[in-house]
Amino acid sequence: MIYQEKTFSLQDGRKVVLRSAEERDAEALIAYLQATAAESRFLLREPEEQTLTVEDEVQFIRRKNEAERDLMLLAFVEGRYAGNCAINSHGDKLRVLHRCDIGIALYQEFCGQGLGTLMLTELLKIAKECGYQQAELEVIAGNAPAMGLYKKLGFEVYGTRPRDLRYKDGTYADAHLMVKML
Amino acid sequence: MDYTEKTVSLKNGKTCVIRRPEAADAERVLRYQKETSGETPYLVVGPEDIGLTVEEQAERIQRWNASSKRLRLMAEMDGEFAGVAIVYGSGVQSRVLHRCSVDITLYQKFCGMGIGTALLREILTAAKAAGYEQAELEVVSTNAPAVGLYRKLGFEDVGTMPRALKYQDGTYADFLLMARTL
Repeated sequence: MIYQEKTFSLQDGRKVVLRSAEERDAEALIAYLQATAAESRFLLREPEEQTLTVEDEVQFIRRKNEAERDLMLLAFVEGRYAGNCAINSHGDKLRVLHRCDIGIALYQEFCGQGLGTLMLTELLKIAKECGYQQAELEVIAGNAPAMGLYKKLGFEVYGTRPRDLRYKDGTYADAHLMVKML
Repeated sequence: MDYTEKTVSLKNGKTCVIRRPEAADAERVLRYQKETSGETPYLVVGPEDIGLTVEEQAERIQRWNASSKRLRLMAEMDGEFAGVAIVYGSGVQSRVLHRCSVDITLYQKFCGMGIGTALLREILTAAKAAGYEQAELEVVSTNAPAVGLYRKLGFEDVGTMPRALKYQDGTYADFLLMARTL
C-alpha cells in the first residue's frame, strides 16, 4: 500500500519525514542494506549476501507498494535517509489474515534518538487501520535496545527459538519471538 | 532431496510404503490436501485455500523432487493414500541454512497406527543427511495426538503463539512452536 507522506518532529526538534518507498530510492536502499548488515550482527544477512541489483530493488519496491496489505515506510531525518520499517502480511490464507509481521532497521547513527519509537508507533497504527489484529516480530537475543523499544510499545515475548542464527565463526544466536495485540 | 522407497512395518501388523510423490500423483495429492484440510481444524490452509490446478501441483512435485534442500514424502497403506510429510529450509541466507521446518498431515482414518511416526522419522533422517542441524514446527496447541508424536520424537517447546489461526466463526487457535536438534 502507499502511505501518504507525513512530517513529524523528534524530541530534539529535528524534522522526520515518513513516506512510502519510490523507485528512485532503490540505490539508497541497497546502500542501506549493505551498511546495516555490516554494522549489526542482529540481522539475517551477512554483508556479502546483499547482492540485490537496482533492478531487483525497483521490482521489490513496486511489489510492496502494490500489495494491498504490505507497507514499506522510509524515514528521512532532516532530509537524510535514516532507515525503514515494514508490515508484511502472512499471505492470503483466510486463517492468518488477522496477523502481520513487522520489521525495522536503522542506520546506527540514528539509533537512540526516538526515531524507532516514532516509526513503529505510526506503523502499528496503520497496521490496525488495515484490519490486522496482531503484529509479530523476531528479535535476536542480546539486541537490548531493540528489545527495549518493542517492550515499550507493548510487545510481549511468547517464545525463544534456540540457535536462530549461525555465524561464520560457528557461534549461534537465539531469537526472541514477540507479539502485540492491536 | 533423494529418497529410496521404503516399506515400514506398523504395530497393527500391516505395512506402509513411504516414497516421494511423482508428477503422476498430482491429482491424488491435491485431493488429499483438499480432504485433510476439510477434516481437521488444525491446518493453516482451509479447504477454500487449495487453489492449485493438477498441472501446477505436478510442477510443484517435480520442483521439490529436484531440490537438494526440500523433500516431500507420502505414505500409502494397501495402495491408499495415507499421509504426507515435508521438510524445507528456513531461508537461503547463510545464517539460517542450518534450520529447517517440518510438517506432517494424515487422513484421519490413518491416524494412530504409527504412520505419522514412520513418516516423521524418515523425514528427520533425510533432513539430517541433507545437512540441517535443527528441525522446527508449529502445531495447534490443542492437537494432543500431534503434540504427543512430536514430543516422542524429541521435539521441545519453543513458545506458544497466541491466536495463530482465526476461524470463520471468529474463534482462534494458538500455535505451539517446537524444535529439536538433529
